Amino acid sequence: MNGHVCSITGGTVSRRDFLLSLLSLLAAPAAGTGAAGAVPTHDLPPWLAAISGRPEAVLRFGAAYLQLYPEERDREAIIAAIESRMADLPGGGATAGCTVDQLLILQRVVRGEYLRGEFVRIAGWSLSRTEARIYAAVALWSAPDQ
Amino acid sequence: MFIDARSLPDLSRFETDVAIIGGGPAGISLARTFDGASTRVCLIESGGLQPEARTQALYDGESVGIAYPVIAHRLRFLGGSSNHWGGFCRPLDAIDFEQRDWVPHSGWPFGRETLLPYYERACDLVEIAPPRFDDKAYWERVTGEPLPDSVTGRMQVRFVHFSPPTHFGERYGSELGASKNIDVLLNANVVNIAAVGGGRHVEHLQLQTLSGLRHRVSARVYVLATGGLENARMMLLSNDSMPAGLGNQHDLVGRFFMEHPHLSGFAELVVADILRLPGIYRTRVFADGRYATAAFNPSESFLRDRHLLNCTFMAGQAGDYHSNVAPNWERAGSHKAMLEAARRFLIDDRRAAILPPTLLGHWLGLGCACEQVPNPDSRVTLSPQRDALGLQKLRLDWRLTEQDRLSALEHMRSLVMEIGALDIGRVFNGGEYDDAWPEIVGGGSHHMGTTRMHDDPRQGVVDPNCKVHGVDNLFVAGSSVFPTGGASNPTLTLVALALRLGDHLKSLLG
Repeated sequence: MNGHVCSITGGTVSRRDFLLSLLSLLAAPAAGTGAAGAVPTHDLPPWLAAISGRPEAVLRFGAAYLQLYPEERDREAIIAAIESRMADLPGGGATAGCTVDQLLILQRVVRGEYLRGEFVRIAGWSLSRTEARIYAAVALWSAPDQ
Repeated sequence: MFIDARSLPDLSRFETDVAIIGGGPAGISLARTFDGASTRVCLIESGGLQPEARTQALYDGESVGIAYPVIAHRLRFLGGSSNHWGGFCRPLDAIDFEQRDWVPHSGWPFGRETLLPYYERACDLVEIAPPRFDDKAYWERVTGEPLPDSVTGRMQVRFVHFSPPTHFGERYGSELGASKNIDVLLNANVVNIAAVGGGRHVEHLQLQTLSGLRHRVSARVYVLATGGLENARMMLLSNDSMPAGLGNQHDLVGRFFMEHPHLSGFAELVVADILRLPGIYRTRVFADGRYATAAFNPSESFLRDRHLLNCTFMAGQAGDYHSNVAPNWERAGSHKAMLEAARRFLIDDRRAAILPPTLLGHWLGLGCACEQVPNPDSRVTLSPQRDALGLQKLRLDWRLTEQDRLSALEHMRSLVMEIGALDIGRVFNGGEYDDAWPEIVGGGSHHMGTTRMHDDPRQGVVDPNCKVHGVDNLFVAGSSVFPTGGASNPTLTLVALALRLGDHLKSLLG
């Protein structure tokens, strides 16, 4: 996972760029899926432009989350919510840093939410709130009319 | 020696020291404690050495509560229900014996330490010795895999051993047959425990074969060991000197029936990197001559803090998913989707690089066996319907409470927390238990509580020595004496209790 982040983004990046990179990674096809699960990319924002496709899976859970929490159907707000959770962690307040560090912070956020029981049930799956928001963010940024 | 009651002259009479009714794990374990002693034992078994439909039909009954096929959960021939036993072995936890403020009617008259020496002997009988139920370091050593510590503090790892499983009739039948002081009376149905003195003393047992022969057994002491449902039925049927049933002066016989609600398939787990869940959690591990698996159990401190009932979770690996193989059922599609979506959280690139490129991950079924609160309204009574011997069949009204359900839900939540926080995988739970118990709830053929043990005759049917309160020579063996059921399969504990009863009877009889 760390290798993926560094290979695409490298170096020092802003928190916002990191999150957008992460979303692009999540939107990338998983192992061996090729383009079979991909959706059209013509409306994607620039940070996703280099991505050839993304699995339906992320969109599926992202859309399910947004159905349950329609008040979070806002691209900027959902990214801000994720950032806010990262900023809550010790060392997570910096706005820039190595992507590897930032990814580790995000992993800690998700782990911490499971640890505290902060999860939501999406399509039967118990997912950490931030994890579910990441999927929702991908869905929002992929929506053509957003 | 084996004696077929059908081959005896009608109205035969037996005199013995200890009459044990029921040749299942409890009865056989108890009888063996007398092998070679001067005490004469008569072990009375309704069935023969093999199952027969007419005898098995005597186990038929009504279920008026949670649907429960009472005939299918038990077997009526030598060895009893051990003949379809799954072999799961684990002692009750120390907290299971305690009087817990949040569990009505809880508390055994003694603690786990009283049973420890008998558990040790019971492990020999069920062929799992030497046991390692709580020895995490041992299992880490023999499997070569570190086992993660709980990160939530809510759970702990415990180990379940698997008996081969020991079918008590097959395993110990020849030994009983060769015994000089133990007679095994086969195809002999006890139809009445005949008492005198207003039900204070058992005088004899009335036996009847399905072919219509009637015999009688007289003994110094009698032990009822016919299983958690039938023990209560026999006492209720034996009402010639006490109309409410033998030992039922406080209307307790048959009440407090408990099972372990089995929430089989309540949840599923997907993992992308199988090494994140050590093998002993997924499969049975063979070490030092016996099998074991790891279970997720709530920690004692969590049970106390949150006032919960006990519970055991176990996982079993069910299948793999590959990106180039289409899912063949709806849930598989969901499993695959989750493995794709969460992949960045569940496997690192180094591991992914050495795995087959199409491998997405694996899914495991999660099973859960829960403790239920002792409930006087969950009970065995007699049905107006009669069996082939003319005896009233049993009527089971198994009930579960909201406390049982809410406790199980909280433990499910703990499991999700633990698995997520350890980055092991993601848990699917369809929510069948969110609002109420579903119409169909499975059990484990674990029949407990119907002749519960308590010092006080107003709160229990048997005393701490398993003697029926108010009856000077009648004892009960088996899981019907459990005041609470914990979350461990009951066979090991009921065998331990039978061995303890054997020691008590030996000291009593001299």
